[in-house]
Amino acid sequence: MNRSEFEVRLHVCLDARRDPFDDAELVAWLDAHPEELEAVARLWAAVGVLRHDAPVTRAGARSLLSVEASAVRVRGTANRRWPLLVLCAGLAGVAAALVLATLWPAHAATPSVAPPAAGRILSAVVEPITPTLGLAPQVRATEVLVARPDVRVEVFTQWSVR
Amino acid sequence: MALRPMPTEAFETRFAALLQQHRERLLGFLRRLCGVEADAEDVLQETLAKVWRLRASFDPYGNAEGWLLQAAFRTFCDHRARRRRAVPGSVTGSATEPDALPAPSAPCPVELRDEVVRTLAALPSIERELLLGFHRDGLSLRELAERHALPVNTVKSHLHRARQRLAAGPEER
Repeated sequence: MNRSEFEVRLHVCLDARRDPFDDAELVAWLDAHPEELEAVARLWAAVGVLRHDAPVTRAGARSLLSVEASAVRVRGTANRRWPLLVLCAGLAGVAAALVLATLWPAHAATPSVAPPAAGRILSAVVEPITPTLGLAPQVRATEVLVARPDVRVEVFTQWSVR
Repeated sequence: MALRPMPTEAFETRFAALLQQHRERLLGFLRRLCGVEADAEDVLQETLAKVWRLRASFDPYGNAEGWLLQAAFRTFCDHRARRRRAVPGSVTGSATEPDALPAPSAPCPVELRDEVVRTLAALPSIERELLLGFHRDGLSLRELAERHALPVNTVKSHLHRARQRLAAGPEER
């Protein structure tokens, strides 16, 4: 049996949902070709991962793999939507900062040259964070509470946009 | 046939270092084959004990990695055979059953799952859908052919290519 015959036999085995390690000829060929062992092990493990994922899917819940697979399917769309999401998040952040600045009672009386007081929101920044696996963009809004030459205190809120 | 000389202390030291050097790779290989961490550890220990007993037959100028992988694979096959004798039908079922392939009995390692997800992400969509439909959802080749309006042989070809990519892994493309 040469390599291509081995591959055909292996796939026929998997198509029939049979265990390739039950096939004496496949096992003998692998034993004689240890350089192929790791690739076959990788394939076998991947089939196991897919099969292990099956019961969750059959039960009606979305398994991790199905979520990731659908994420893969919409990745192109998500990538096209990404600038729009960042823009929306940025506008929302700026709007929130403007509203806070308008409603802040001491704002008008405070001279622009006076040093900032603790607890006052000086600025709000929305920055995109590269999403993991492209599943959901994450946004972080940072509020600067104190910004003095010697002290800087910030708090931030982070959320996912789905 | 000439008898090999008994291994010297220096040889044994080098051989032990060789085993230590390849230990992680062998464990990774066995994790993939066994699907269960505990089994992989057991088979690894058995493999290391076996090759230590056979150290006199080791050719230091040969392919050490291939020799060790071969030993691990043989030990894995023995391990399966022993388990099957202990619990008939525990390792595999009949080919006519829809779930004849053995499913791992414990969750697979996260790294392995990530590797599969990365490989899936790189597959053409038709190959990914057929692969998931066949191996995850348990659809038959005929059902997949009807669902995707493809001849059964085309479904098989797509599946074979997708599996070849899985075998190659995400980094090798």
